[in-house]
Amino acid sequence: MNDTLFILTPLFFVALGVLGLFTPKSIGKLFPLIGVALAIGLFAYTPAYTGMISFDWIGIPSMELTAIISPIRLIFFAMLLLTLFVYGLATLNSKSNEEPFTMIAAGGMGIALFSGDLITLFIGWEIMTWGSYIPLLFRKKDHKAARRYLVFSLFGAATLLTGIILIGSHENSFLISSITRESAALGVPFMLIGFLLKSGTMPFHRWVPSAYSESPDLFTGFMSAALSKAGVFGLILAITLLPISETLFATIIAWLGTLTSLFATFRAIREEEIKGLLTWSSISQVGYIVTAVALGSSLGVAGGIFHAVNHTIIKILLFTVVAGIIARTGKTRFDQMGGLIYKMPFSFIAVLMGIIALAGMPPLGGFASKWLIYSALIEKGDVLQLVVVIAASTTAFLYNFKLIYGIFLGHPTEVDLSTAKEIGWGYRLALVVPLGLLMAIGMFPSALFTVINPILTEIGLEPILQGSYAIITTSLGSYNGLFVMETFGGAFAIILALFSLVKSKSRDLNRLDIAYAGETPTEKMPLHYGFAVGREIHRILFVGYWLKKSTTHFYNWVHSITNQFASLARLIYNGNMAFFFGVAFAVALLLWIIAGGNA
Amino acid sequence: MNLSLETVLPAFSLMLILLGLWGVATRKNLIKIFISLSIAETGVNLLYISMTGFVHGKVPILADPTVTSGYVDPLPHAMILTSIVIGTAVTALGLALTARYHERTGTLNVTKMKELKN
Amino acid sequence: MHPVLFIAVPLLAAFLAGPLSQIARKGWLPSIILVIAAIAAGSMLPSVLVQPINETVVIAAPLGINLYAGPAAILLILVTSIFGILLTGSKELRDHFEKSTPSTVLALLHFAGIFGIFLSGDLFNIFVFLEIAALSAYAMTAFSDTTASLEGAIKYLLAGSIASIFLLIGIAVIYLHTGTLNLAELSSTMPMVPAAAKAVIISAILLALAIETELFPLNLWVPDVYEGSGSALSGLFSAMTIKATLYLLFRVITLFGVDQSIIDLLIGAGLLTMIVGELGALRQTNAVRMLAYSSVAQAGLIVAGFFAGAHSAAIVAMIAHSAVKAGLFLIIALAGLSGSVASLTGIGLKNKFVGVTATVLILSLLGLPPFIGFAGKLLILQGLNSSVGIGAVILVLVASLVEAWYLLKLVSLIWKTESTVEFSFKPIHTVILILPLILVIAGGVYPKAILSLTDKVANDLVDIQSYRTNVLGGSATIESTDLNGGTQ
Repeated sequence: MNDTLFILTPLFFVALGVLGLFTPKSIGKLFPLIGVALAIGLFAYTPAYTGMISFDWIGIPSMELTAIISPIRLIFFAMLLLTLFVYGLATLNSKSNEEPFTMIAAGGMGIALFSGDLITLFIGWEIMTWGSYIPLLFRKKDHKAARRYLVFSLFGAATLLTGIILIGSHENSFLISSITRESAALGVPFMLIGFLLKSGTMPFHRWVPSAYSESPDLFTGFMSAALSKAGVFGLILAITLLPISETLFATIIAWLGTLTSLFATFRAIREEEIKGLLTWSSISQVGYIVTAVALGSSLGVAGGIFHAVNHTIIKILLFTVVAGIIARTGKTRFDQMGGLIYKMPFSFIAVLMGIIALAGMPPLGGFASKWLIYSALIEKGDVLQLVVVIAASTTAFLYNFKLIYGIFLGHPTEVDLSTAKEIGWGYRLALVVPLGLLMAIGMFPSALFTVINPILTEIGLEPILQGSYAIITTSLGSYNGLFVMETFGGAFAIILALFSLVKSKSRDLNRLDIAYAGETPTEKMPLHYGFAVGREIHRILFVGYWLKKSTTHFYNWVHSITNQFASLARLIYNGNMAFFFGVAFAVALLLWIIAGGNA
Repeated sequence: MNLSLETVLPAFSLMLILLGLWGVATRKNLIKIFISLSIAETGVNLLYISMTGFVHGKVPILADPTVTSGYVDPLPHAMILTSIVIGTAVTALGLALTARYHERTGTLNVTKMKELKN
Repeated sequence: MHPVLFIAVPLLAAFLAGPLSQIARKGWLPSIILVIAAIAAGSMLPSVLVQPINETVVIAAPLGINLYAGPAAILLILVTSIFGILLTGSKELRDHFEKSTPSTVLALLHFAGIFGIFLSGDLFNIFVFLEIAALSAYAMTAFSDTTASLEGAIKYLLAGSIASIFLLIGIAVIYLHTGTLNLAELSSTMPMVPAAAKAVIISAILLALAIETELFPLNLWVPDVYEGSGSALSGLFSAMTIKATLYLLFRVITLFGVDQSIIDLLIGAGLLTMIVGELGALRQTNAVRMLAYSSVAQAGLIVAGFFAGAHSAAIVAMIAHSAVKAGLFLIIALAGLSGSVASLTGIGLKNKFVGVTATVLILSLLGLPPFIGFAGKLLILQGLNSSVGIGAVILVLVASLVEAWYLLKLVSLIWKTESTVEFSFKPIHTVILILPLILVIAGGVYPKAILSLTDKVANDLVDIQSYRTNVLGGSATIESTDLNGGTQ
């Protein structure tokens, strides 16, 4: 029993969430941390890397619920725990009250991750979905985003369920281990739509921006960092069930991921809301992961998982900082901020490190995963895809820079620097762990392969041999993370030293104290860097064309066509009993004919 | 062709049912619809009577216990008694409701009962 | 415990409603009768699951009137009475009951009729009880005495009359050809009925039952009736009445052993009902009417599921639907407002318990785990997949998406801050909502408990042979030689 107790952690999460509904807010806020402590404690007590537990849930032997542990489940669960930990620390310092539902959503995701059969997967998936839907209702504004989120998720769930039922009825069992390739070919394509939708891949991404912008700020980080990984997990599960790497299908998914990464990047550049930018960035990053995983090769899956880990760390870091800043300033747009570096140096460092990792620059962890993804693409020979991915990745610098400059540098526009304070202690404390992890992964990128290699073995791929923890090796070559970090650190120290030597006394400038194309700017002139950046991006050839092609039209069309059907249906219910009599007699005749009356 | 009551009655009852249903389908006046429903119900009741074999049968009173056949089937009679009562109740309730409805709205036209729709 | 008491006690109470109302004041009499029925059904259930009770009133088995208290009947009586209590105990209905004894009488007659439908083993008695239930329902619809409620009542009456005429025609033809109306005997004699007559029987009875079970396109009157009758009565109809007629449809069609083409037709009609119902609800601004469409749609799903072979799941869905709709209609009744969707704005913030209950019930209605709706829906979908194909599954799921769109609008409104309307809940009135809430959550977390029951119930419905044995006794299988004997 002891070794199976850890499998039940997700259930404890849900239980904590339900308990949190009935406890005072101050105690409920502790539950995410208690949950993490419980999970780590149980795992430390009996470190289990495999295990299985079944539960006769519905009285039908083929539909027993099964939970199992395996390396891939553990790494995704670890991402969830990390997110929950950071979220839990930060939330102690916030006014939010969605913690019970976060716990329910986390528990649901845990159930989905530990699922040994498809029914359990679906149950966890849905608990996660509605658990994360309810916090969206806490926003006082419009609830449309919440509804859109849940309806989109339910669409994903519907396709998922279709696939599950197809597989289940074909195999007469829902166990993941018993799925054959034949039944997988029937059901997995349906399931994939559900997975892609949850990960926010285009063209199923429509719910993401509104849901992220309407959710409580800290919870957005949880959604982006943890919940989107459920889709990635599902995708990996799908390629395990149906080795799709040779098929056209895989190509389509890989391209969907690639295009997602490119166009989400363009949208991110244009974005004026801070959380909106991070949202599009998140969509774009998950696009890389989807591309990498869909390649189906060892290197691709490894790169995908590596990037997923990085993305979790980076996004919980950035969203938490941004939540802290929004909580302090009450402003949500770039052009309302500026100059906060003087008051929020810690946040500045955190965001700086975050965007270095996000951009995939050495020496931080982000580089290693991008390196793996590029290598996988080259190994596969998908040059066009590689070009697009690299284009997306470099274009991302534009919005990354906006994140640091728009908030921290330049002159403040609407925030009052004299009263602004550093983000709350909970937020700061929470950020230490992801920051440390980013450094650690940067220095010892290969260390992650101690967990990735068992996963590759588990899903039937060749493990990638790595030597030292510091050196990451692919077929294209290798680099030493520790060495890079040391070089960077050294260079940084030297430049800093030189800089402080030659630095003269600085003087504060007035915001308007500049020459502006030969004119003196007036008070009303929007000079802030965050203002209108990317507004002209649509004038670039092709980019503008594609940005205009929004899926909004399609979904609006679906909406209107459904409404038309609804009107049509209601037209029949016209309240006229004479019409009803006519229908009734016609049906009587029809029934009589069908029942064989004409024979 | 031998037109006995036994052969005519089912046809006649069927005719009444169809006539009633036709009335229900084509009339717009609520009162007329209730009349048509009553006609159809009468038709159904006659249908029950027509299958009891009452033309040649004896009254189902067991005077001589040794004679067990040749009686009219008593069950349909019992059933139509019930159904007549129910039919009357339905008609009465319908007319009461119609009267009240007419009081309120001044219309008896079934196609104009459209406060509730869509 | 005699099954006849389920019918006799409400009837007796109806006759004595005048004096009894003096004892059970404030309109509690119907609720008390339902509590008694629920307790009786609950105490009978364990023994009935082992050995169904067949009680013959008047003479011996083939003749006479028999009441058959099988697992299905008793479980459904239990469920419908429990969730009926929610609504008869609501302020809205109790006000009617308190004001006039006739309304109490009507409610009690309605219960007698419904329990009669569940228990009767004889087609003509079923007709009688159906008419008792329907007649009282017509009159109850007109309780609030507004133009809308009168219009609803008249429409209900017209539709019901058509159904009863066709039912009577069907019964007449059956009796003509088989000489019996006992369902158990009919199950063995129906195959011998000539094809032409059988066509008339099936089409007439199916038409009547389709009107009563609100299958498309014979449900055109349903939303009007629900809207006219108001929220509490709509809840009563949707939690009790339609469950009785669904039971009747399942019982009669299974025992008649109809052709596969009819079964397919019923599945198709069920699916169509679901789609049209959900679409009808989509842009509704009246909450009662919206939920009426939703009830219609759920009935369609249950019918499709049952005839697709997911018998047990259909029963689970029936129970789940009773719980959910009783709860939701009660909440609208408690809000005591016009019934327009907008008037629900912010009730969740006024009373957290009501808000949470409504949200959980809606999530269950959408079929989300870990609520009971999921278990039912999953098994129904599985049944549909194996007997119809994946197309039916997709159709149901698409319909569920439409359902989600309008039900979530309700959730959004419930939790919205700016409330336009002033209303106050008395917390004591909301306590009863704990019943559906517990069922929905407990049944969803551990559906095995409910499924072990409904498996037996479903077996009771589909196992014709044991039904026959239970009703007619071990030896009494009707031979074809007896067919024309006895009565002629």
